[in-house]
Amino acid sequence: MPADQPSVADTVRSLVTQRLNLNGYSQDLRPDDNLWSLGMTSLTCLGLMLSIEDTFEIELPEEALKESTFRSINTISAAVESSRK
Amino acid sequence: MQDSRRSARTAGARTLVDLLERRFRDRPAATAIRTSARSWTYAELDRLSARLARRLVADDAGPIVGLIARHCPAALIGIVAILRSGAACLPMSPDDPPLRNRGVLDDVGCTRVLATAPVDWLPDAQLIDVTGPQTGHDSPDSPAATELPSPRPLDLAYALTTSGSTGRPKIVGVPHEGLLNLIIASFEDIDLIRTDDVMLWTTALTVDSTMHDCLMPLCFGACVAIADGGDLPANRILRTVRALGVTALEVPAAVLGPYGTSLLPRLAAAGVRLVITGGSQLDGPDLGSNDSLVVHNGYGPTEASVAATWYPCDASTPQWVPIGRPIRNVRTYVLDEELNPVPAGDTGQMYLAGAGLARGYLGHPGRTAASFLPDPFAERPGERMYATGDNVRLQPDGNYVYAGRIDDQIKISGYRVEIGEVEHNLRACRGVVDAAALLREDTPGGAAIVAYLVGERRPDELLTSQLGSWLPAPMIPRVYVWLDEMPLNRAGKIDRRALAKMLDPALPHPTSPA
Repeated sequence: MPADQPSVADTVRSLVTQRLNLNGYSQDLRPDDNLWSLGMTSLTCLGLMLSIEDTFEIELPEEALKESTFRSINTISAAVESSRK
Repeated sequence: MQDSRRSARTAGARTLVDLLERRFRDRPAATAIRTSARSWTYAELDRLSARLARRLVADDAGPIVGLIARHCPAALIGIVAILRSGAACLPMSPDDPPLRNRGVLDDVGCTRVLATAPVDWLPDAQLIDVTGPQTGHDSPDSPAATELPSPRPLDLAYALTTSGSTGRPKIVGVPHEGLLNLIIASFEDIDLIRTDDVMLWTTALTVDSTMHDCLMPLCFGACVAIADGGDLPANRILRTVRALGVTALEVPAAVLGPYGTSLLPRLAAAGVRLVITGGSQLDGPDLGSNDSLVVHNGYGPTEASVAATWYPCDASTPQWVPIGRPIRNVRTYVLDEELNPVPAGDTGQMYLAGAGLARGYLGHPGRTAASFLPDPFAERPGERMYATGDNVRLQPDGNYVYAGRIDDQIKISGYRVEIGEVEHNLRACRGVVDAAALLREDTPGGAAIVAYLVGERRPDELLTSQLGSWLPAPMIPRVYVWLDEMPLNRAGKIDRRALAKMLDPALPHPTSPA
């Protein structure tokens, strides 16, 4: 990946911010904040998953489709990294 | 030719039980229900449901039989059995508060309940058997000699609980006539089901779409696919579609609107030909741009048998998707406050009449009379029309367009909520003096009910747990805002506009971790 491209974590952060209505909170959002506690619902989680798959042009594997994968920016980034390998 | 062949399948049927019986006879070896673990043929569904139905008849189970279940084959076998016994099915969620479910059973005088798993608060609930005898003979203990009754068109087929603005839920009783009319129209007129379809059951048992989505395929010899349990079922939808060979499914408008552009091409690539949607206003771009997949948007309250109008999306479909035209035998009127028709194209309240009207709210003739009015436009005197509370307007092309509510009923993730019921229960919480609730699209995490409270401040967790003993989860506010006083408008009523501006929705709510 060229150096001027955003990191996986940065891209995930921007998708999370956008999909979960967290715009005003974005700068305070920490990589391990629990997104379910911040109000993510199964519906917004579906939207987040679809936008992650579209953006990174991946399909998350069956075993990644669970609540714990979408818990935080860190866990999502890890799932993206491992399905790009 | 095609049409006459299609109508031959339904001719002479009085209720959907007649159609089911025909399929049991002419398609015994076809797959009726499929999961990843196993499948059930029509012959097996016939045997299992007949056995349970005979038991209900022999026990004199009563006119309404409860069903507490999640998505699983047993639930579907239970629905079919209850209908074949001549009773109406009263579906209930095991996740709803026991207090609420018990109140519903008491309100309708229901004493017999089937379940797919043991129910803590109702040890008498009878568990549904999904294996049964492997031969064609009933086990010796079942009353095989009991004749199954044939339900009549005006007998109730199901009863469903909906939110009530006065603080208590309403139970809508729906006769067979309307459901059969919709199922026939779905097959003969709008191509919502084909005999070779595999329809995935996605809706909650307690919404009326389930009656359409699950029973319609079985009436025409098609297959109902049921996903395995587990967390995040929505995220698994593509995997499920591929694994079970699904060709048709319902996706709620709350999902399809925002995520359709990502979801539809993937569903089409996985072999889906039809997406049924509804439950709330469908609002999203490019929903009619797939060549191999069509989206049908259905509109209708529970009080009018699932869906009274349908709209097929095409390449010219606008983002605010129309709700379409009435199905056969359904009449639509757009009326002003004096019940006069508005000029074509003007906005007015939608009234529905003809086949499909519910009997009313069980046990509440007064509430029923307030919403089911005499129909002054009927050809036959004495018919009724249902006041939907929805504003609509008629487009020149003959399709209706939804134009908002006349009251403060809201839809959250497709779940119908009377704000009045939420506010009534908020006021009953300890410490709360006054309360108002609003649907806010801009809260962190996505759309949520926001409660504005005046009184003695208490932690959110206490409010949530107190409300949780009365209200289903979708009706519980996710954000609580305490105020020193409730803003009032000049008329002395709660100023909802002021409330809507009050919370900075970009801030995480107080229960989020520090």
